[in-house]
Amino acid sequence: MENLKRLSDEDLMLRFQNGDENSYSELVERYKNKLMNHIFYYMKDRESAEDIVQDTFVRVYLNKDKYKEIAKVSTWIYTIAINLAKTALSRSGKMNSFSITGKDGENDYEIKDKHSSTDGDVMKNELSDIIMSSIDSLEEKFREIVMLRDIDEMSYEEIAALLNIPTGTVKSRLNRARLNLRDALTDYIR
Amino acid sequence: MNKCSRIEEMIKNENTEIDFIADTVDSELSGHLAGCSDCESLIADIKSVSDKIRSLSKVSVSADFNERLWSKIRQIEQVNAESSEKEADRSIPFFSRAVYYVSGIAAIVIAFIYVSSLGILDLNNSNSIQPGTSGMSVASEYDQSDDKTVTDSLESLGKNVTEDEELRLKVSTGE
Repeated sequence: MENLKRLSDEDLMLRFQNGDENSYSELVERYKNKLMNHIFYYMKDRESAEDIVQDTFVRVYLNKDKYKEIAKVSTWIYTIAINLAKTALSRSGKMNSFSITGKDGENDYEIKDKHSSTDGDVMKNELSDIIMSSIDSLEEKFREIVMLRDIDEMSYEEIAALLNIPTGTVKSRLNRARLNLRDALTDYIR
Repeated sequence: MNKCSRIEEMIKNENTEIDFIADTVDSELSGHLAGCSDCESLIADIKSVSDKIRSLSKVSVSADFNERLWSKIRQIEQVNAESSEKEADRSIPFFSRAVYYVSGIAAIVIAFIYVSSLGILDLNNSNSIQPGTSGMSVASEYDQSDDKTVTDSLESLGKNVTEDEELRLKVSTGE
């Protein structure tokens, strides 16, 4: 049996379009955590984020024939997920209000560790809160690019394709966003 | 003392690339950095911000993610299949009904044409069918009408014969 892990996303998609569900499963494996990580920073809630990621893959499954090879599979999947997240946020009226706390007022950015926290962990969590708060305070066009580049580690070209803007604009927005973050985080970065 | 803002201006430019992940910095920028501590410090700060963002905890899906996903997909497929079946069931009776309707209308049209060809629907004809009259009564009236005409003719003939006989008697008697 051919090793699916060696195939490109586009090859997997083509095989899936021809009825190979294993290829679909491989795509799910490749993107489920990346998407979860990305969408979590939109939704600020693990359950909602996972629902969005599930719905994204359901749509990929049901609309496989709508995918055309002119776009990268990653771009297509991220576009579906981000649109679903934005729709969910606008329905709940949270589109422009990013909070760093979860539903229960707890820090919801960190994966809860079953083991006891050390002082170092607490400080790290606090710093994470501050960084996320600073990212949240950015204009959406800057925040989105910081998330896609520094959190999801997407290439400039992938971000440009996803947001439908020139690569140069991606670079300048990213640099401006980092300058703003540097000003906001001066006390914490040295 | 004025701080150098050259790098700050440069990194707002669309063509300036500072890629901390690939660790590549624009050549013009790196040339300036070698002799400017202000700008070197700024770049170090920006790199630190980028590193800290990338070090944020990653969030993963729950362990039963795949199982729930496939369950959802199968459920949707089942619903879609059922609605397709219902759609198919609905389409067959509709087709049958359409055939019935068309057949019925065709039968009525043929009957109308046939009846029209007999001429009994001509309203100017005294023998035409009037509303509320059955086929038997029309036939009966038609027969009675014929009988009356024959009777009238016979009566008229008898009357004429009688008049001729009377005239012949008058002539023979010389009146």
